[in-house]
Amino acid sequence: MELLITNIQRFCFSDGPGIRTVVFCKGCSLQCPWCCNPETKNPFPEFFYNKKLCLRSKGIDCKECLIEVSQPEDYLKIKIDYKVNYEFLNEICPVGALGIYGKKINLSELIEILKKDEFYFKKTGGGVTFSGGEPLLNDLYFWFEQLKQLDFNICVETSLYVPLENLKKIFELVDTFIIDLKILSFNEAKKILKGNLNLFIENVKFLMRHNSRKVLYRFPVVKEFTYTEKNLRLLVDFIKSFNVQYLEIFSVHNLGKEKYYSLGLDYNDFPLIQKNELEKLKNFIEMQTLCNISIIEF
Amino acid sequence: MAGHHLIGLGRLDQILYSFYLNDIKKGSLNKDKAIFLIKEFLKSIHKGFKYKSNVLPGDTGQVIVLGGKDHMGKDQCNELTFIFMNVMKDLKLPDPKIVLRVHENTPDEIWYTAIDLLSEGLGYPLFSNDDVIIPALQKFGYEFNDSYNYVVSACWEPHIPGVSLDQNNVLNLNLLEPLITLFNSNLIDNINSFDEFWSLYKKELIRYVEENIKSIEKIKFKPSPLLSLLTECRKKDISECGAKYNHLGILTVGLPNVVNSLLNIKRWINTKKFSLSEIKAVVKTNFQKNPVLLYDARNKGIKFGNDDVEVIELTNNIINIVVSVVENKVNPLGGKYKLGYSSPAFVEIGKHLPATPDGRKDKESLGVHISPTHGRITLVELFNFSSKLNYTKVFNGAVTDIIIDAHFLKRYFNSFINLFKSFILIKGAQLQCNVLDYKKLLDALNNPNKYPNLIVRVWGFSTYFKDLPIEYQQLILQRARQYGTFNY
Repeated sequence: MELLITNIQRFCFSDGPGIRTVVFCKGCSLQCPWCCNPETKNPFPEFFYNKKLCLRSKGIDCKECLIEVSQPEDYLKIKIDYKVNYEFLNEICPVGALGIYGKKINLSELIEILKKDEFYFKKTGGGVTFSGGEPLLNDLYFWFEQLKQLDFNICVETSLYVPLENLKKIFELVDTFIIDLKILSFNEAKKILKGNLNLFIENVKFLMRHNSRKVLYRFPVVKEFTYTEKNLRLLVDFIKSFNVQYLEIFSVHNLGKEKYYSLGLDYNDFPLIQKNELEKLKNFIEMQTLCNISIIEF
Repeated sequence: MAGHHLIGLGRLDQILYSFYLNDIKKGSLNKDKAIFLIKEFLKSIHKGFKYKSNVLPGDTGQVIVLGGKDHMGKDQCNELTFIFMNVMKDLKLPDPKIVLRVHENTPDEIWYTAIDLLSEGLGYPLFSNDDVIIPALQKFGYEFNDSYNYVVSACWEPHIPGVSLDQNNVLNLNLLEPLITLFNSNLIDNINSFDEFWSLYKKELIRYVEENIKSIEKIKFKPSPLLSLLTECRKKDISECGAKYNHLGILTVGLPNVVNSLLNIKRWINTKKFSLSEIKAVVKTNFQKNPVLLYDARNKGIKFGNDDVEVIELTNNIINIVVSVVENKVNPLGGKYKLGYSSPAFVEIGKHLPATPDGRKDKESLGVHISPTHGRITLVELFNFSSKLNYTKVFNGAVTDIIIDAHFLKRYFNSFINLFKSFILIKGAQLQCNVLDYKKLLDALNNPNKYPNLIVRVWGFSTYFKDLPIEYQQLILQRARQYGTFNY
């Protein structure tokens, strides 16, 4: 099996315990408006072009990428032919302004990359994290089985908006699940996230029934979306009914902005949530539940 | 040594420990008083540090060596090791500074205290790996017992105190120079393959090293009666080779730049992207003729610091050529030559060099010790790379030089302790680290008076940022930004 990914990032700290290598899978089941990895949404390769970085915008007559097109912008209009491998484009642009999101890797390629950092994984309790996008849209059972045999710690960052069977299949092999609690009302999840909240709840029930210690919950604080009076009430209910002991909260950020532009998409900045407001939220939740809240920064 | 300003202070935790124990036993001292005395001592040697400085303010050579293992592999840290580190943490002074000898059995509490001190952003302790340095010293010819007692002479060059003349910094070899010579000649005009270019570089490098060693064949030191008295000398002044060891140290600079230049040239020739004559023509104009080449040179392909077999092999090939020229030579004092990776001359030598194919522009600084100049290279990659370099024969300063974001280090403190430990366990040689806040640094560049106490590490010394010449300030800022891009 080959996995379509956007990137493999070594030396990550905030995606599970210890030092980790993160695999960003391409393809997602949700459409969160605040997503900071827009290039992982679609399950197929996409061209990108970042005009700001492009040497042509700096008045340099660079023609490196002008193969069959007259200007780099034209790449965004090309309909991708999946039989053609465009990965060479990533090697062409001298400043990484133009290229293709999405490359296929196989398990042995991944293992080779992971092995380079095995020593640090062992020393820090780290390992590999599958993120995305939604990694559980892929059938990763065989991969996880092989990685476990090699004694890699496996972490999965998932929205849990996936069929229960997908989760059941790999549950035993995963050391930690990192799960974003997003919008917790059925109608709004459908309207805003384009997802079926029942799938999520079903999966949470399964996880909590089997091994709740494997789960780390996170809550992105986004004004008008997750940070509303109604959603906070639902969050508190969720924490209570699933006996969540620990929750990390963080402000939405706009670090993905350039990536939206480079895909030819619009982006409106989300208002950042200030530290003192996060503190207030922490106190609010801790007052009403037994959950410990940590504020994390990105 | 007469005329030589930089003399390290040695292993103070070892030297003072028996006095400390004795006085405690006698009742004339207790721990609090010892802390007070050490604090006053450190404060007084700090005084006038600018006037003790050699090239730049702060470059005093006042290095205190702590820790280390003995010949049984047992760790030698004691109460004073902790006291020195904790007092330096309180004082927050750039000078004196600490080199901590570590090894596979360095206790966790020492690591904790050391990284805690490091996170203050004072640029020390520098970590020196006994498990790499001691075997290298023995292989070089230092006696077994002596090797376990090494200190550093000024910055980080290992030195056996009390028995050596060893001047560890008599010559800087610029490994980029032979490549520049080739680019200025017509020797490369008809070359179409990388192998041919590599043979020419090799030949020119050997010639360059031979010629430079000749330039120090007449080196002489002035008589130093005081130092002779303090050194075990065999009836002769130390300058007349009265000491047990009379080795001389040679440092290298420009290794990251020459590695990246060669990797680029290889890639361009092999992919037929640019011919050697095109490269030569563009580089000659400081990349004006085709700026695309500049960005390509900086951003594309594998780079110095990647843990890629090809990069590691090329780097070792270059350094081993220098080793082969130097290792069997007898120096004018009858000793040998020691080689090191980490020269302080990166800015000064860079100022006088034209643009080079690694994407370095005219007059720009050379690479800083063992650290990447271009490319997005994470610390784990750099550590893997660095641990595979030849230290057995190149140990006269072998410093991997990194920058860590201050908030990042605080937040993942425990992982960082283990990361530093890993560096030692996988046999990296020496490690030094600037712990910085990029935004603060940027602000300090424009408003130096706002941050009078901001300290940075330069080479083997730390100093106040405001006291540095602008080119050093800019270099550290540029490196902090580069490192910052992969810090999350």
